[in-house]
Amino acid sequence: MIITVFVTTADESDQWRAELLEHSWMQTQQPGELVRLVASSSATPLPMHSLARVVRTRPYSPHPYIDDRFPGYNQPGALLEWLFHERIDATLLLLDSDCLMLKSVTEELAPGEAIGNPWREWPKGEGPFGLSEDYQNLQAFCVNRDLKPSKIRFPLLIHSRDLKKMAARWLELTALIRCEVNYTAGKVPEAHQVAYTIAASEYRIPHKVQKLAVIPSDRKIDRPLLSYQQAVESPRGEIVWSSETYSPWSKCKPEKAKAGVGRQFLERLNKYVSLVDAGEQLRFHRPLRCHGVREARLPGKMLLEIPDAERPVTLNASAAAIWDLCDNQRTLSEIADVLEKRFDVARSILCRDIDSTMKHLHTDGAVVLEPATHDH
Amino acid sequence: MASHEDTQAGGRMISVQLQLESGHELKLTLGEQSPELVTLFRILASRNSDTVTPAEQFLQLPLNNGAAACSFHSRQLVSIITEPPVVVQLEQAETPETAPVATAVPPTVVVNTPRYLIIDDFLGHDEHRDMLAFAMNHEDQFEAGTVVGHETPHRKNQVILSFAETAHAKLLSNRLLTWLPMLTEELQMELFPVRFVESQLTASNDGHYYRVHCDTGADEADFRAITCVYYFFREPRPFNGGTLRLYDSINQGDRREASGSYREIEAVSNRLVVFPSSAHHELMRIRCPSGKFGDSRFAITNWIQISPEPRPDDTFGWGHLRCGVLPAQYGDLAGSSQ
Repeated sequence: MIITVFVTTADESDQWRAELLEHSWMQTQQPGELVRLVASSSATPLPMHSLARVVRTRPYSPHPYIDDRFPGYNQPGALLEWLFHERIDATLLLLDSDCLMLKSVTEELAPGEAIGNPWREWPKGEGPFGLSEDYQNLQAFCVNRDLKPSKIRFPLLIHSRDLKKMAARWLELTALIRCEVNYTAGKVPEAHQVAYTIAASEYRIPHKVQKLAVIPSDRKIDRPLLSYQQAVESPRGEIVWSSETYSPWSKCKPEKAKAGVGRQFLERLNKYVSLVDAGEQLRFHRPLRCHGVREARLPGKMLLEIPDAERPVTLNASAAAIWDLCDNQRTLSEIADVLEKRFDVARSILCRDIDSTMKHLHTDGAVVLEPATHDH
Repeated sequence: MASHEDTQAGGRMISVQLQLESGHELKLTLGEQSPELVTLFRILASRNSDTVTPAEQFLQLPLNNGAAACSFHSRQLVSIITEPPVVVQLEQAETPETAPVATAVPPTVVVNTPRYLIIDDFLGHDEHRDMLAFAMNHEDQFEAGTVVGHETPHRKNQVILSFAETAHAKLLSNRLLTWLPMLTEELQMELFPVRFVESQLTASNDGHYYRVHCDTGADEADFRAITCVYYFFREPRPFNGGTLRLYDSINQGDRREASGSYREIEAVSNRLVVFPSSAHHELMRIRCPSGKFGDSRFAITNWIQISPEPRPDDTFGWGHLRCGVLPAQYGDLAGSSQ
């Protein structure tokens, strides 16, 4: 059994990445479960997914006991909390959220075995663990500084039992590195990644270094995963596309990208955008009206009075038309079908309107979204 | 890591059919380790002796998930049919070191089963080995353990009371405090501001024990909220016994005493056992044939103390953690899933 896991916050900027990853997970027919850990307070609604199981964990940024805002705490914190609460006994495929699947990963590992993507920029030097001198202060907090950690980073494969053993130390070391390591430009930005390598070596979990993911600058796709943290460049080295500036779900221009993985990634992204425009993902959800919601019709708008809500929710005419079609039977895709026949509006616009309206109604507590299918 | 099977007090759900005198039958469902089922077996095993307490003579059992209750006298109980089968191991009379079973409590007695948590492989390989080396190298600093308020021998083992000042204690407490929010959640306690983390290193050798006690109640100990015992010793294990018994407690008004029912937790090297400091527990007698100090069962007991008021300026562990205040993100319990 392989569980594919990734950690995010509930921010909107994480949602498109998560949906893209989910789609690639489905397309590759990756066996096992897909789990999205969302580090957020319970006041924030959990994001919706058609196939991924969404699990809330507490936010670990800022660190609960150190005044330090650093999203990197969320990875060890959320994984520790998840493994603590659930009885997981499986191989875990740990991904960053800006990663997608190109082929299924089927290699199951026994406890004591692990595989990590090579990390060429691992900060090596003459300090403890073979790290740079910046890490000298870590000596005081580590018993054996002569260990040689595997120079690896996400994505990686590890057995859940091994991750359970080392996760608390991983979180602890991330905080120690942030507090203690002299870094020229503030605090170490890759603290959680360095901490992982140290914790794994301290808990005697050797990682085989094996390339699992290609990046946009690679020439060909010969690995099961693609990490798009790096920007896609043109043949002249200009940035054609970057995840930091991407507006979901806008179309990209693959033809401007240098031939290779970057261009192929943009072509895949465009294909998914077309599916989004066609309302493909809407067929996975069926909206159910929440009990006790009362409606009042006014000229050109509708008011929804939701139990426990401070004030009524106002729906414009198109949102009201969507709400009217929520009969606890239709999927979102079927609602789009009805509205497409009724109004002269492009399906892509209609689908985005439905998606946006549903997210608001879900957040406001007017509907819950039931999975319409869990077929892989 | 946490053994969830261990943390659930009831274990499997058992379908129980009680046969009473005059041919009456009673069907109900109970947890395998629930105090009610333990009591029923105990009564059945004790029908011809005087060990059934007054509390156990009058039985009240929940029916229909607590929507109804059935009351009867213990002498009416004829037999117990369980599905699946429950095998009961009857015990010998308890040794003088073990807990006196509660006596003469009124029928309104409440039995509480303490929650607890086991985390195996708590420290890294070298940290664990280094902890053992520290204990071995400080044999001369161990002294006989004492118990406040007990004049008769209640405890026999050796301790280093000043262990909290050492780097080894800080290593352990820093790791514990990283776990703290999850420990409190598992023990169903509110997360609290920390006052202090006490730490004591214990060596237990042949014939050593620590009779039933709880860790709260005496001055400084009043602040203790969570007890965390970290076990470490040579392997293969050079001793027998030395299990930790964690007793159910009987609440009777303001008084709280150890019940006769308990769970036993084996001492496993590099294992952390966590339970509320208010829980009654006992270290069972250790048999260590060699008697050598190095063959002792070592344990570091940490008591995480609760602070009555926030301590924003205090730092803990290695000195980075500000656990004297409640972090904002722990104001609500998480754990929901889609």
